Amino acid sequence: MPTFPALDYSESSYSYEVAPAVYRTEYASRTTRQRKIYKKRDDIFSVSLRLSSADLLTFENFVKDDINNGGNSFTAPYYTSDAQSTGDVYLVDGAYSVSYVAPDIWDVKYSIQVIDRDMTDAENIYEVVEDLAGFDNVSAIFDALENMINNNNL
Amino acid sequence: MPTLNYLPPWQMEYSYELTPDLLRGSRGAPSQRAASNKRMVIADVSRRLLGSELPYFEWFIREVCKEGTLAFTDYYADGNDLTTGIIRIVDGAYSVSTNLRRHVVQCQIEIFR
Repeated sequence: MPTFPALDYSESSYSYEVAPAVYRTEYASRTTRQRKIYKKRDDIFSVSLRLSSADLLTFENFVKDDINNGGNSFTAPYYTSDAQSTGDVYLVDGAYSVSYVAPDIWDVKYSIQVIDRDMTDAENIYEVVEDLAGFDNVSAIFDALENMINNNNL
Repeated sequence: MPTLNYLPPWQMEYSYELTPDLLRGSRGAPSQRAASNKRMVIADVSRRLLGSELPYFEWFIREVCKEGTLAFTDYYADGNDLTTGIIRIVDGAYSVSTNLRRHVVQCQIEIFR
């Protein structure tokens, strides 16, 4: 599977949408019901990159040649929280937009759909926070560990 | 019923819809009467999270609350200051805007009151 090229970019904005396969029924009596149809982890990420002219050319050639005009999936990094994850993605509709900012500076915007997003880190964080009864206690543990290691306070 | 702990409250934006269970007739003089005491309250809300609070929230909604289909106990800020209640995320759907460290989660919630 093709891999997203290593571009020298800075993200100017990042957002994503979660829309699980949930069926909602609203009855005339104002009672409501929601049920899961199937587990769906294909989240849509909106990405904005600021690229140089050379990196823009690399990006466009990648879409046209490596992923068959945007039709094929590829491996790419994406961000949830401040940790980078890597997964298989589709470029939604194979489409992207390019805006000229200044000489040798372009803004590129597109959406990627992450296929079956990995939630392992989220699960681990949830379990640690629940076991330690809150984020403040997690921070306290880290502070104690830092003191132990940096000051040889074993 | 699950309870969501350790996170800052939802901020209700300046609109919510309250739809009671009424029967309304318009033949001749209009009339309406309550069919039951049920009501549906949907609010647009946002929540500001920091760092790993986001993956904690996402795991709670997607696994503990089964992709947001289950109601859960949470607290939100409205005209009554902080209120604890039972809510459910409409369609289990939410959006996240992030600068990688600070995140804003937006969705619609159904408030059961």
